[in-house]
Formats: sequence, C-alpha cells, structure tokens
Amino acid sequence: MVAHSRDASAVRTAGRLNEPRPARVEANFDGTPWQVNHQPVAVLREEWRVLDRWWTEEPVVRRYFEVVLESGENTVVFHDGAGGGWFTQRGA
Amino acid sequence: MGNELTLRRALGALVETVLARPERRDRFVRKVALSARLVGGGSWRRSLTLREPGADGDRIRIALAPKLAELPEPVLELRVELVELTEPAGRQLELLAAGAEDRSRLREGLRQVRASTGSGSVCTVMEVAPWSRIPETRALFVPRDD
Repeated sequence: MVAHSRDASAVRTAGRLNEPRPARVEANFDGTPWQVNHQPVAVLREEWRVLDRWWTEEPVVRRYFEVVLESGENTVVFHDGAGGGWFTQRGA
Repeated sequence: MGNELTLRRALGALVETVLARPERRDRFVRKVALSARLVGGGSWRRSLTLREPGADGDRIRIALAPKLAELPEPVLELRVELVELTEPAGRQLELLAAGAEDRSRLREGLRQVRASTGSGSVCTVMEVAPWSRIPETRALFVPRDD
C-alpha cells in the first residue's frame, strides 16, 4: 500500500484503517436514512447495531445501515448514539 | 449454545463443511448468510457480501464471526448458507505468478516512492483485532521502511 504523497499527516505515522467519515444524512422518523450526502437512498439492505466498550468512558453505540443509493453506490452509514452525528464507514 | 467460543468453533466447522460441498465446484463465494434457530422459538439471520469473492474458509469465518455477537439469545441450530457464488471464472487469476524479478521491480518501485516522498510514505496493513465489531480497530497501516 502506498499512502498518498500529498497527505503528509497520513504518511508519517501509523493510522487506523476504515476510520468513520462524517456524512450528511437525512433520516426518517424511525431513524432510517433516506438521503446520504445529498443522494437519495434507493434500497435499505440491512440494519444492525453495535454496542461495545460500554464499560469504558468512551462507549461505542452505533446503529448501522447498509444502503444502496440511487446512483448505484453501495455504502454503509451509522448513527453515533454516544456522540451524535452520522458517518460513513468502509469495512463494516 | 450460548458460549461464544463454542459458537465460533461451530461457525468454523460449518464454513469448512459448506465450502467442501461438491455443488460449489470451483466457484467463489460472493455472498454468505449466517442464520440460527433460537431457544425462544424465533429465528435470526444476517447476510454478508464479501468485498472480493473467495473460497478461503478463514477469511469467510473472520468476516462472519462479528455477526455472532449480534445473536439476541442462545441458539439451537446454526446454519451457514452460500447465497451467491461466482461463475467458475468469476475471479481473474494472475497470468504469471509473481517471481523474483517482479519482487525486485516492486522493491525498486517502493524505493523510488520513498525517495520522492520521504520516509514513512510506504505503509503495510497490519491486522491487530480482526474479530473486533468496531471496524476501525481491526487493522492499522504502519510505515514500512525496509
């Protein structure tokens, strides 16, 4: 793997793969996303929850959705129940 | 079964068994599902699309294992289903196996990348917790200067 030469911070130190990236998500009343980064959701394929590290001061509380956007892109988003906000994530 | 270690062992055995089925022939697995019959009488199912089709039991087992943590209650029966298979030629193989010459060219290429972008610009992926349910904690990319 060759890191991008213009991303100086990424190439100097070890980093984590598949870090969550902030996303702009519009959700329905039941919490399911209907729009991701300005693209309508065509199909909601799967939903699951991750509750972890509840014994620490930084618990992980996430509600994941695997969706297909109208553009055909298959993507995974989650709502962060601990810190708030929506994120996209690869490798989920 | 309610013990996670037992479930993981059962999962490993099921994956190996289903991959060995003659009906699969030489086809690779694109999508796989894990389902269970629960003690309370209900059922449970999760499916997973592999990023790259394959027939490596360890890889499929590692991909499915985090789903076990989502089981809502102990199970009576666990099943693994190959939902989608590729055609026998569904995965492009290398035309030529990487030999010493290729590795030498690769080393030279990486050396040039380091020379132009500096130390730490070439990284390798290191798995640290492939079983983790939190995707960003499963692997690191670390600078490689050898």
